[in-house]
Amino acid sequence: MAFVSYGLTIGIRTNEPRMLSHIAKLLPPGCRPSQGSRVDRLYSLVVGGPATGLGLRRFTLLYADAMRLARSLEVPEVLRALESDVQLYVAASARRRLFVHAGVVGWRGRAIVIPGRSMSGKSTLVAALIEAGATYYSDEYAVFDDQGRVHAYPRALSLRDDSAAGRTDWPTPGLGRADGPLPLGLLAVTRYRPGARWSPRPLSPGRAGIELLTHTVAARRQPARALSVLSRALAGTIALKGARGEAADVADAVIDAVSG
Amino acid sequence: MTDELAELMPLARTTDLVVEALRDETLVYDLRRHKAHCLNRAAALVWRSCDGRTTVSATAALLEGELQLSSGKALVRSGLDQLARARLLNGPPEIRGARPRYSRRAVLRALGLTGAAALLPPLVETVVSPVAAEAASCLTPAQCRALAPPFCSGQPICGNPTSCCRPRRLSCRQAAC
Repeated sequence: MAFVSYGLTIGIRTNEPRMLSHIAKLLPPGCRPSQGSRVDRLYSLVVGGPATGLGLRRFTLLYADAMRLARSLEVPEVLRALESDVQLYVAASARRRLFVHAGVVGWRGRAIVIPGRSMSGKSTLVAALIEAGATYYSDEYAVFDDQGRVHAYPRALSLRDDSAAGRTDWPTPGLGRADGPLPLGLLAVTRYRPGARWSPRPLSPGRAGIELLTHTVAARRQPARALSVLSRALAGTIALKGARGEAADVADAVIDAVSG
Repeated sequence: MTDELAELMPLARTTDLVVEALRDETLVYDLRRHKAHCLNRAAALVWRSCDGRTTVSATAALLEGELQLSSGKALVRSGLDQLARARLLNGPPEIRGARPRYSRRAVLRALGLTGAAALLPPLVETVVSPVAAEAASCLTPAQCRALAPPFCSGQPICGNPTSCCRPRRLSCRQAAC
């Protein structure tokens, strides 16, 4: 199968055709099938199987072009690696969009962007903002266009937990119902710290810019474009930085900041 | 004192940099070192004066006028010091590195500060640009192994909630979170 995502054509082949329906659910949001014969990246999934009579284990393998990405006896683990790598490849290589690792919600025609590394608590804060009435845009990437507007990346909100997979998809009200691209209204640079009280300090546009750049997937590959897009996005934006405690306690303050 | 003020400003580095003005500040991306710098208004003014012809005293006067300071000399010195450490200046080492460092306290004292908070040190803030995998929600074991410290900061391994990508000696390896 081949599909187009953010201008990139990606092919996936497997020795087990039944896997294709599972793979289709893992693709980046908004991708569409491609009939072209050329691809920018080709994934090969070799599904293993039960041990043979000789006791040989048959691993499931995943390759991106010629590089082996994963090798495991557990197929779901390899599929998770496939999902992650496709997303990262698209985010790093997209030509007309700039991807910043961040949670995003919409509030009254403006975007609230929460950049952060994995396990910084951004998905939890996104969930709390949705409960407070905001519109879901993304818990993975803020997708900026050349004018600096933020587009949705509507993948189901996924929260870490103690389950075997380590994450559980959260029922996401409004998934796919985002209002279209929004100007950036508030940048909240925050990290969960137990017991912390939300008392952020304002960031200047320049410092907000380098905070966003540290979470920009293509920062090294396209630095000039990244700076140009981010500076457009930050024109007229409020930017705050500080540790936060429980997400539910902070959500209202964040919404007040973008409303005021 | 007179000699010091008559001294010429060094040359600003111009190669392998991407520069973006953002209101009063300037963002500079160093393509050689993959570092991004935010120059506040004072540092941006000092950097723009680094043409090898303008004197330190003229730059201090420029800062005094633009930023309403009683004395801009300490701010020029501090700015040059920080620009040199950020490798944004050209010129011989005695110009770039051998000056005494100006502490935050010394600069505040010299400014007599009443000045705006936007002028307070650090005048230049620097971050290391991330590699793409650093901005991922999770890494495959292969992506983890392809990194080197400091870029493996404990990112989770895909599909394996108890494993994270952590530094081990000079490389990055899958390890318990």
